[in-house]
Amino acid sequence: MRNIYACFKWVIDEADIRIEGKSADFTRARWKIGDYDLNAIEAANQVKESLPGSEAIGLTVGDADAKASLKDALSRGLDAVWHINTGESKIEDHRTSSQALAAVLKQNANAALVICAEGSQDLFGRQTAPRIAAALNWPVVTSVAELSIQGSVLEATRKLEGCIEKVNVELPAVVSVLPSINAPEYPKLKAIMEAKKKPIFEVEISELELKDAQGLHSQDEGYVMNRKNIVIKEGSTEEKVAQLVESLKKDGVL
Amino acid sequence: MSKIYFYAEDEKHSRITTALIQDSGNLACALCFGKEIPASVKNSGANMIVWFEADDDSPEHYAKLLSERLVETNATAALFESTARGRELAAHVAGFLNAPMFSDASKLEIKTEGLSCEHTIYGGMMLRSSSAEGFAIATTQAGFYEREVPKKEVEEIERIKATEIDTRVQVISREDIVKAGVDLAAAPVIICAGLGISDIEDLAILEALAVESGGAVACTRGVAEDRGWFAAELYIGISGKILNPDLYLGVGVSGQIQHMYGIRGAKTVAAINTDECAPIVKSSDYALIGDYKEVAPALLAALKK
Ligand SMILES: Cc1cc2nc3c(=O)[nH]c(=O)nc-3n(C[C@H](O)[C@H](O)[C@H](O)COP(=O)(O)OP(=O)(O)OC[C@H]3O[C@@H](n4cnc5c(N)ncnc54)[C@H](O)[C@@H]3O)c2cc1C
Repeated sequence: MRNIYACFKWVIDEADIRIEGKSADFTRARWKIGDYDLNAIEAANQVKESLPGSEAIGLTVGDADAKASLKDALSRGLDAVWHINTGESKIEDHRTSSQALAAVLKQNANAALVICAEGSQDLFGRQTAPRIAAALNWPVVTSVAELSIQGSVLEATRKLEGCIEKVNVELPAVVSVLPSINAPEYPKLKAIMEAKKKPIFEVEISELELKDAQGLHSQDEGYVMNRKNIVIKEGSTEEKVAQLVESLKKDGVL
Repeated sequence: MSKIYFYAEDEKHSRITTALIQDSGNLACALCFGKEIPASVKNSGANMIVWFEADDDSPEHYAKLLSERLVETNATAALFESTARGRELAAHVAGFLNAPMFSDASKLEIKTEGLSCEHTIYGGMMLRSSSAEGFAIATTQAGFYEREVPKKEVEEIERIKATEIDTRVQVISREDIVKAGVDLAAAPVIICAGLGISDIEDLAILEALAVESGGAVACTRGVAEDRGWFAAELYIGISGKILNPDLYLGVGVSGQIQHMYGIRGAKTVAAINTDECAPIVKSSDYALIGDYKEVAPALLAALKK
């Protein structure tokens, strides 16, 4: 029971989504490991250092395309990575993804700590860490800004709305970390080469016995930002400022 | 009429949540955990208070007990204020019950068949409308519903001696964060400093603009987190503050989606930027193209007139 798991998700880069009216065009969008998840991976690498003999292991639920994330994850310092393959379907229901992650953690039975980001970059539901904890009946701590393991205890510093809270947590445990916890660097060429030799494990989601998740319906549309889009660029600084102030006064906001 | 439970830390949020639940024809049951009933819950106008009484004042540690309670009383939904503690408790309960959960729901509706709402995805690029059949959980942010019930002391209190609290997380210490003393949510005008502000001395002129317009100065994430020019509670965006001012003026702000997400509710969005191609130009009502070093003093002079 000594390994540190980092959960990550292969997501669309939202900057590449083209919104036309209410519809969205994803065809030109690139995919990547979510930015917040890079913090979770880096946190796992760092915690591992204080736990001799432990490994930092990546864990992701994703469709067949998400295989492209595995080498990237390994090049960021992880020792091994698990892919729960959902085949052609993209899982958007937190119930299913969290249960799947928990099922693999249970099977492997060697986790001391599971680190998630606060939320995934695409859905940002901020549900995964507590849900995994519930499924495994392990303790959970969210909004973690600092993290270390001392013996069999996790020491975490949480950043909440009104206070900084220090907590000690029994292991095994699940945490979610804030983006400010560390600053991951781009992988170096050496790490990218080494990643090729590291183990990748795959399991089909259908092999995990998950509880049904039904009764949820959803529909997406592009967010339409209705703004006037008036560009003030002609004339002297004073003239431009005068035009801006007049417009704002007319709108009744100054 | 059925029981809908809610957890809220802020009094206004409590009264807004009570209004939403009662307007849907259901009974609002306010939750609290710990040694005493906080004033925000006492005055929430809810139909009843369900108080899990114990020495432990971290609501998160009551997730298992709350889950059991929701099942026993056939609750149709549970709503939580989207604070760090509220979200953790909500998702933990959702996990125990394998229930659907909507995070940061807006346009929340409580219907007989279940909850429906909207929430943003992809950093705010898209909106997802969702509905659930049967029991579901939602978290909500400030101002998610317009009406609030008046302040009224709740008479019916159900006191539950809580025994099986999760003791695996021990709170060692709590230190209050020193507030910057600025209430951004109440400011009608927000002057926002971006990374385009090259010198820290220039913040003085933004402060002066804020004073003159009756507003407050906020910033983008990098200005707070990387440069440390402001407290973290003063940055706007998806991972920071969500504000609905009358006027937002971005100075040296590029207008990335994660930042703009925080001011979508602004009545008017204006920007001062040297770059006509900056994304903020497309998401503003007025974009003044120019160097803030010249524009800001001229703007201050114009406001003083
Ligand atoms: C997952 C994720 C979450 C994030 N969450 C947030 C968040 O909550 N809040 C947030 O703010 N950011 C957030 N960010 C960061 C965000 O994407 C942007 O990087 C950030 O908002 C940019 O800050 P900026 O506009 O201050 O700086 P920049 O992008 O560097 O823009 C500076 C702007 O200043 C202009 N400028 C330069 N000089 C001048 C001058 N002399 N006069 C006038 N204009 C000038 C430039 O043209 C440029 O447009 C997040 C990013 C990620 C990936």
